[in-house]
Parts: sequence; structure tokens; C-alpha cells
Amino acid sequence: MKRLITLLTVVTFVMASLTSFDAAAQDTSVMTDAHIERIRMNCGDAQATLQRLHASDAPLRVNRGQLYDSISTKLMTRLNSRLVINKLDASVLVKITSEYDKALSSFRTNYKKYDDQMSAVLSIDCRRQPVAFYDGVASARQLRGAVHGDVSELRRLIVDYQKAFDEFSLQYKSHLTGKEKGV
Amino acid sequence: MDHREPPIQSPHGESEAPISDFAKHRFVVMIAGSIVIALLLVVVSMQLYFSSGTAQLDLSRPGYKAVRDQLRTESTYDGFSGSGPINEAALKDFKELYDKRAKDASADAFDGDALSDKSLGIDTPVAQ
Repeated sequence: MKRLITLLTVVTFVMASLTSFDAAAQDTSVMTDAHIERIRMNCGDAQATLQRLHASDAPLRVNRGQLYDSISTKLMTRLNSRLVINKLDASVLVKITSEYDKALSSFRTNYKKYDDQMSAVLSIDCRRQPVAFYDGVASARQLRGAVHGDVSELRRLIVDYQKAFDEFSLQYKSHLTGKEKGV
Repeated sequence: MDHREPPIQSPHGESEAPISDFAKHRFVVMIAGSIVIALLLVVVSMQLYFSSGTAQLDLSRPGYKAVRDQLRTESTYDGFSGSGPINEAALKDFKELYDKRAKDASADAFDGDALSDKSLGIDTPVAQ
């Protein structure tokens, strides 16, 4: 019985320590004293700006995620399958759809990394660890750049699909017109 | 010498097997075991919540109250039908739906200016 209680206590302690996450930030960059002092002075404002940015990013991510997802699932995929069912050549449109889905997956992954980094930066005490804070912001900026890259790629693919559809539409209409004249 | 516990005598004079410690405390063991399993499941579900990316989409968390009204709810968007013939009407229908969505998605997002050192006031001070 004593062994059982000891075992349960150890397991509970291990699980309690697993649920508490303590991220210790390490100072890495070499900076001048003046720069460090500037970071300390503007620490409060910088954190407030980051907090606001972090909060405003969330609905933007949700809205954009819904929009990109609906373009893929409710428009592109449905048109592609309808064309295939009607035995029409949808190979170009399918190829662009495939690239679009990969870019969308990349967007989701990169946003998660960016959001995790922002949360980590917001938990740093920039008065005590100004260098770690600065490095954290630099890392977050890089990750936000990756998310921006995914957004640009998605925008490009949306336009490419639009052009490919317009081309298909034109060819199909002339094919229909040709058939009518032939009759 | 035999160290086994002597058999317990029942009120009717019959011998019964001795009750183990586990059996004596089985109610406590059941409660403790339930708590351990519940804690394990909480750890697993929290891990899934963070690792799957759901946390980024959850605006019910504290700190996001002010931005919840910025969410666009789209419960009635049906999109393009996946079945049916391909004719001019269907192509026109798709074009209208797609152009509208493409226009919504044309705006840029997540540019890096907001995180620049200058905008946060943590850039290198100019030597005077």
C-alpha cells in the first residue's frame, strides 16, 4: 500500500511538471550599452505594441484561413471535379489547385510557428533581458515574413487559377460555338 | 515457521481467505486511479490543442475579447456545386463566385513593417 501511494505521488508530480512550461530565454546578440538602454527605456511601449499586434493577428488569421479554405474546397475543388465528371480536361486547373493546397498548408504551419514565437517574446521581461527580447523580436519578424510569403504565394495562385479558368472558358465557348455551326 | 496469516473464521465457523491490503483499500485506489487517468487525459488534450494549431484559432481565450467582433462568420456560403453539366450558365456562375472571393483575398496581410525595430522603438540609437 505504501509503495502504491509513493508511486501515485511520483506520477502526479511528473505530470504536474509536464503541464508547467518554463521557457528560459538566453542572451545571444552582442549589443552596445546605448542600444540596450534604449530597449529598456522603450520596453513598455514595445510590449504594448506587440500585444496589440498579437491580438489583431488572430482574427486576421481566422478570416483569411476561412477565405483561403473556402476558395479551395468550395470553388476550386468543386469546379475541378465537375469538369472531370463531364469528361473535360482540367489538368491545368488541378495542378494549380494542388500547388494552392500546399501553399495553404505552409501558411497554417508558418503561422503557428510565428504565433508561438510571438507568445514567447511577450513572456520575456524586456527590462531584465533586453538582448533576449531583441533577438526574440528579430526571430518573430523573420517568421512573420515567412507567413507574408505564403500569403503572397496564395494570392498569386488565386490569380493564376482565375487566368487558367478564363482561358478554359474561352476555349470551351469557342468549342461550343464550333459545334453549333457544324450542326 | 509458517508466517501466513491464519484463515479468518466467519460467523458460521467456515474459514475464509485473508483480505489483501489492495482489497481493503480498493475504494481509495479507485479514486486515486481515476484522478491519475483524468490528469493524463488533460495533459494529452492540452498537447493536442497546442500542437494541432487550434490554439491560434481559439479567440475565446482571455486577451482576445476586444477582437472577437472582427470575426467574419460564414455559415451560409455554399460555393459552387460539384455536380451538374458544364455550360455557359455554370461557367458564368463560377466566374461570379470566384471573382468575388479573389477580390476579398487580393489584400495583402502580415507584412513585416509592424515588427520593425523602428516602429517598436528598439532600433540602434543614432550617435550624437
